[in-house]
Amino acid sequence: MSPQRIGLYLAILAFLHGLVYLALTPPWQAPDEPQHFQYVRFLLEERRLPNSHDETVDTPLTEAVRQSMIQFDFWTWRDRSTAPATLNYRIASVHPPLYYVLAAVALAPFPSLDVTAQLYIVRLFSLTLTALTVWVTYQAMRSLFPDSPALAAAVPLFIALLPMHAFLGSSVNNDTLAELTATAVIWMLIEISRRGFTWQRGAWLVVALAAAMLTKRTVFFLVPLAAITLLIVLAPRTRRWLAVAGVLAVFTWLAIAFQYAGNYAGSLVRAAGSVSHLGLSDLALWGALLFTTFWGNFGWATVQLDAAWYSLLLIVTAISGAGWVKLAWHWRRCLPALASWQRWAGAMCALAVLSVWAQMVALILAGGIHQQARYLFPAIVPIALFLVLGWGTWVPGRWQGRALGLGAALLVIFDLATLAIYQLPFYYG
Amino acid sequence: MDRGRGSALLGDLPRWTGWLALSAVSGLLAVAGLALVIAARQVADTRQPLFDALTPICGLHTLGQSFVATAPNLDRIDLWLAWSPSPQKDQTVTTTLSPGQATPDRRPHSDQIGRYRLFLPIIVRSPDVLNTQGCNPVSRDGSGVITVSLKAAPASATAIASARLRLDSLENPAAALRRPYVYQSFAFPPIPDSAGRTFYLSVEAPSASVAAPLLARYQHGDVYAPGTRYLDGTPTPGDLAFRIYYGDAPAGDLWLLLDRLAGGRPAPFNWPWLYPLLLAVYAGSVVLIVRFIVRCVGAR
Repeated sequence: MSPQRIGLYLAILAFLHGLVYLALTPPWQAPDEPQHFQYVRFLLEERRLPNSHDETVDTPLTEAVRQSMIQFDFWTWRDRSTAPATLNYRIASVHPPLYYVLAAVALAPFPSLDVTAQLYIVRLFSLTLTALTVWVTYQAMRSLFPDSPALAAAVPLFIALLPMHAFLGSSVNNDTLAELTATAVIWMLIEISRRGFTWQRGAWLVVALAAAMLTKRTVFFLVPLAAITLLIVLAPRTRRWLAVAGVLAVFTWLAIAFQYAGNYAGSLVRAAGSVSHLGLSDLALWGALLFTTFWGNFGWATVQLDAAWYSLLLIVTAISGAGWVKLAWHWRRCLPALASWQRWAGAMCALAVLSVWAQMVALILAGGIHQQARYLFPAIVPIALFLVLGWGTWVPGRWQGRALGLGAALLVIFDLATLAIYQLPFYYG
Repeated sequence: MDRGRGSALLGDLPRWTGWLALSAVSGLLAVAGLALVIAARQVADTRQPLFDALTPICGLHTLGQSFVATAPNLDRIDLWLAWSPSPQKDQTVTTTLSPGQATPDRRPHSDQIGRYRLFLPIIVRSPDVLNTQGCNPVSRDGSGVITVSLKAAPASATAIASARLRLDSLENPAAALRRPYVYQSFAFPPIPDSAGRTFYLSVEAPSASVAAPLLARYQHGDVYAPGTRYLDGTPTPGDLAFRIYYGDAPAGDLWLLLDRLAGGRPAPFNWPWLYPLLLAVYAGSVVLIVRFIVRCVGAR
């Protein structure tokens, strides 16, 4: 049995899963779809990047999008209101252009279709990127766990079957390319940790990193991550920690400056003000929003599940956390089982999770924007890895295959339940 | 036995045909399961899903909504009601007005302010003034009931059907962590001759107080042309948010769902059968692919 075929089948599974969501989700009912779609169409029509002025101008495109949104009762399901006289979701001109350029190329052969049909074409383009992400995830996990095929398959399988991932991955959003490029960067960093630095790997890393930076600002954590990983691999042993500390300090500052360029001081003041007013209830609500939008909070975070589901998912997540407590308790026995490069690669994955979290907290505090879990998805591979590893600690080695099947079955049942009980009744019931 | 062949029971069929059959059965089971759940929960023929305001009532005051049934066997009405035992300083404005005098107050509702906006979608709504005449001022007893009655007209003394719920079973808008905007269902025995008839829906909550009134979500504009909203039996601008269900054969609900899924979509998404087909293919593929992966993992 060829491992390459596993990767291909996982990608097909992710595509089919996303196709279900692409079809069932009404047009425009995924987060920010109108804004992202207008960017793609703008590039096709104007052959230039949009600017902030373009956000204010009413054009035939904005009216066509508004009419399509009216046709599919967008405002009814978004916020239970009636349509405004002019479109209140304008072109997302603040984003870097790579996703939109590629989507425009995909859309170029279909100029005569109406905007709704074109929306589905761009959704299909996004879905292709999502399926590729699952394939790249499998390659990364094969590289990280060459002797554990169950673990290598479990992580991409989890990502392929995660309902929120399928929902977001089949929508018009630059998050899909951000996730693909970030996953490619993480794969290259694992490869470099395992097999050492070569110019070919370095070149692929630079290409993936550049593509990520040209896609979305939420992937900025990859820059310090890549720098630290390369320093660990390349720098002399005695200077490692000094170098790591220096790079961390510089990139933390740069990250904040990059996110809030133009109003750096104001952002810091706002962040400090936010921290001073933070209460436990605020933290709990932020956590709740993040948690629900990771597992199942569909539409524009408008299709929520009942609290009982989230409680169950909290227990499922806590079981993984308990697995990590168990691993930490037995670290003297566990760590030697890993090769030195695997420990470094594992540390790199942990750093990826920490830095994407730090980036999100910074956005919440300084930007005053309450973030959803999709902003964590550029680090979906390490996040899924740690979840799966935590669960895996409770499964004896000989049952790994069966546990994989059982986990997949439970995820599919959860997915179908959310569709039958919440998503379909919300829009169509 | 040849590894590529099935058992003697299945003759000379290749083994992959068995997996294909299992995949097809899994796909059909997934679709059938989904269809069963949806048929059991029903699909609303008549809907008014908009709201931008909350109307509070207490004591013997009533609210109502007229509507035209579009099918026979009317057997369920869903409304968006809420009740909280906690003080709702930002939610209602208490005053004494005569019936029908209530007007929207443009102050923000509690869902819009403070911590609530972190978790919930921000929905613009404004509370109406509360008519406190004859209401208990302080009771926060949640054991009282709400009665929803169907009548032929607002003035009718007899109810065609009625259903009850406890106040404390409603959505509590003061709870920060909750699933917001949950419909409450009021089920009746089916009304066989409901098709084409105009009904008046009356909501009463005699134990609701000034401190903890019953809240109902509605749209202040006239968005449901066949009916209107009522306060204390008097027509008032706007329409309550509601859904009406009919005890059709389950197939009727599923057809309606498929029609709504395909309605207005570009080809091939305008073909209603695409949706169950896609779901079946996905569920069937999960079985095949996961089985393949588990075997690979086991083999290595």
